[in-house]
Amino acid sequence: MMRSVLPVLTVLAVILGVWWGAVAPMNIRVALDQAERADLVVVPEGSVVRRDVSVWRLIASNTEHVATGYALERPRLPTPTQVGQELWKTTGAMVQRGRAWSKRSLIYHGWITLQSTLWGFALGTALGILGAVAIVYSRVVDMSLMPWAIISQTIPIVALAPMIIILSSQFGIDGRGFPKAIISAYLCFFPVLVGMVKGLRSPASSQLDLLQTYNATGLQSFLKLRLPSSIPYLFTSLKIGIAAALVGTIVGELPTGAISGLGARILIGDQFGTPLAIWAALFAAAILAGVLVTLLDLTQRITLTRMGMRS
Amino acid sequence: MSLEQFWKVIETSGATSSYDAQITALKEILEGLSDEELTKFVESYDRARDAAFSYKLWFVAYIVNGGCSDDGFYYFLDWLIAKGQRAYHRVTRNPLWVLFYLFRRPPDGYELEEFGQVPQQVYFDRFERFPEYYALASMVNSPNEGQKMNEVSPKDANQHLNKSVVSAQNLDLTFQTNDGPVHALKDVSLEINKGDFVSFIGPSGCGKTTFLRCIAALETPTGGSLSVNGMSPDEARRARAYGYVFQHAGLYPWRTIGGNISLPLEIMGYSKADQAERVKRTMELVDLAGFERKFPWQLSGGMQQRASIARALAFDADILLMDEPFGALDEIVRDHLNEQLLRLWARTEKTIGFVTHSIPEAVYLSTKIVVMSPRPGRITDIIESPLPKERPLDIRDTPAFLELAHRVREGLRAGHAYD
Repeated sequence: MMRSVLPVLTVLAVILGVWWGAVAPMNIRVALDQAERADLVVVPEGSVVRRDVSVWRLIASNTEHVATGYALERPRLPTPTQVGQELWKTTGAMVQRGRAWSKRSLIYHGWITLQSTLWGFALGTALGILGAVAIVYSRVVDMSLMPWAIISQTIPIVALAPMIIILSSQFGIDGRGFPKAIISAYLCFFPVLVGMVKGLRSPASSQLDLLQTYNATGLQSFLKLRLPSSIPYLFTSLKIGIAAALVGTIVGELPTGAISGLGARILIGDQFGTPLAIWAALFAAAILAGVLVTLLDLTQRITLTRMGMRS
Repeated sequence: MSLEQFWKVIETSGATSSYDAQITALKEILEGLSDEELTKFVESYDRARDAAFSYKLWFVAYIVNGGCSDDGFYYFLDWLIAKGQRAYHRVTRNPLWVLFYLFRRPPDGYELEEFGQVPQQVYFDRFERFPEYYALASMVNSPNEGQKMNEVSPKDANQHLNKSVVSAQNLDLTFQTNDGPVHALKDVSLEINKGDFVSFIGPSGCGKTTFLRCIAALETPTGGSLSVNGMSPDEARRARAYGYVFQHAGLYPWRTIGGNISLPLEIMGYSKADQAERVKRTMELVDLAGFERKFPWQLSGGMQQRASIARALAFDADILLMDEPFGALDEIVRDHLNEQLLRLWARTEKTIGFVTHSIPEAVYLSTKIVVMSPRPGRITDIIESPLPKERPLDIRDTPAFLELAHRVREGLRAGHAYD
């Protein structure tokens, strides 16, 4: 345990170090502009002139203003601490003030995104499993459905998302939740489908022969052999699927003028020039994905241990 | 056996047995017969005895039906089969069970429930405690001196009495592949009789596994005829006539050993109580008692293979087909399992088809060794083993054993051109 802590911490430190180091060159121009407006000495003067000077030269000739770049209100690249503070401000601090469900709280937006993600995940998983069963048991379905499943994944979801929203409003569905769930299901069904097809086909031919010697019915061999042996494959797919479902939901919130959800926060942050909000929303999405995948991982461990298959 | 002898046994058994009531009932049945019928009984008995595929069953049939020749036997069979598969198997294994099915109540001194659920071994022990029945059964079982098997016409033996369990005539199997047809089996003819232990030996590609799979209806022959228990292989499969053991144990990792053994029972719809009893019984049979709740990965390869044999035995099929079951195990474990398999065969009286690569294994186990050769897959020699049924491991150092092994090796060499 202790042996793995050190490398993990080292990698984390390197990432944070690179991030931290990149803040100076990324923010130096904004910092110099700000300093100039405050009548401080800046070399060279005038933001138009500075445009032709490389960031490294600017850092070298204005060392006293580099620190300003680490405390900007609207930085090009915020520091890790700034992102952390913003995250705390929009989550934990809101909870402390009893405003967890305010429109400015990432908990509220995260919850909106999570709802659509889970609906989409459930729908996509169900479709994926049903499709896989159909593909495994019917050659015709295999040949007719599988190419479409593959083609569906080559279409950029950003292009498809607005259309799904327009179509669903045509069908009289006003809420944003449903089309978002459809988009996330669209992204999530494919890994589940592929994983389950592989899983359902994983029993060796001798295993199937054995069931034939018992004169087992198709349903019996599905329930007693194919389904249990596909479970490890299913969990691997589910972990990919839930991450895809989250991405799908966020993408569904981005180009569609949604006002709530993590994707909407990112879009609004972009439109109002508040990069800190974008970064906080990004991290919130990453943390949400991490939590979901970890929960699935735990379920997998418990299930497989119960089934006697140590992973 | 004469009628007098028969009566004598019946008479002497009465005083000491707690089965008095049953015996009296049986006597009444026999006494109720007319002289003509009795004569017919004795005659038909002598004629059919040696050809009967199960002496015990014939014996029981005579008692129950007054011994009315073949028709009577088939009447009895119908009656028995109508009682269900389980009843049939019980009575074939031990005639005493017929009392249970005749009178629907246990012998004096036993509760009905107990009688229905005792494990087989316990029942055997009880059987031995009543020597008069045992004597009766063994008298019927031992062939009359002077009368040989070949005095019974093959027609009687095969057509009516179905002694041959597996019968293959001029069997062909050709696979169509991209490289042209492959003759997996060509002109294979073989009879496997009830209670035989038949080994199939030969190099890879000689069709030994394919032949076994044909018997199991996992492959369909392209020519010739094949019958299993007097049915087509597919009918036999649907009647669950055989248990199949593959080279790899193939236990489900998500089921315990007990769960794996009850898999066929679940599929065949046995009741929960029946499943539990059978799992317990078969696990004792393969010396795995106490491992019921372990998962397969917790067991050694040899133990896993024993569990897979138990799984094939659990539903009481009369035929056991084994495809190189010990091929993946090391020599010492293999010896041990061979010894156990022989003991199991002696106890269960199954008919066993056994595919192997190993000459010593084939010679040690079999009553009949079928030597096969490849391209096309065919039988080059069928060797009836002269070795006794009781075989300790060191029988493998006796001259008879070595001579037999030599003959098998010669057969293999003859059928195999090393070009």
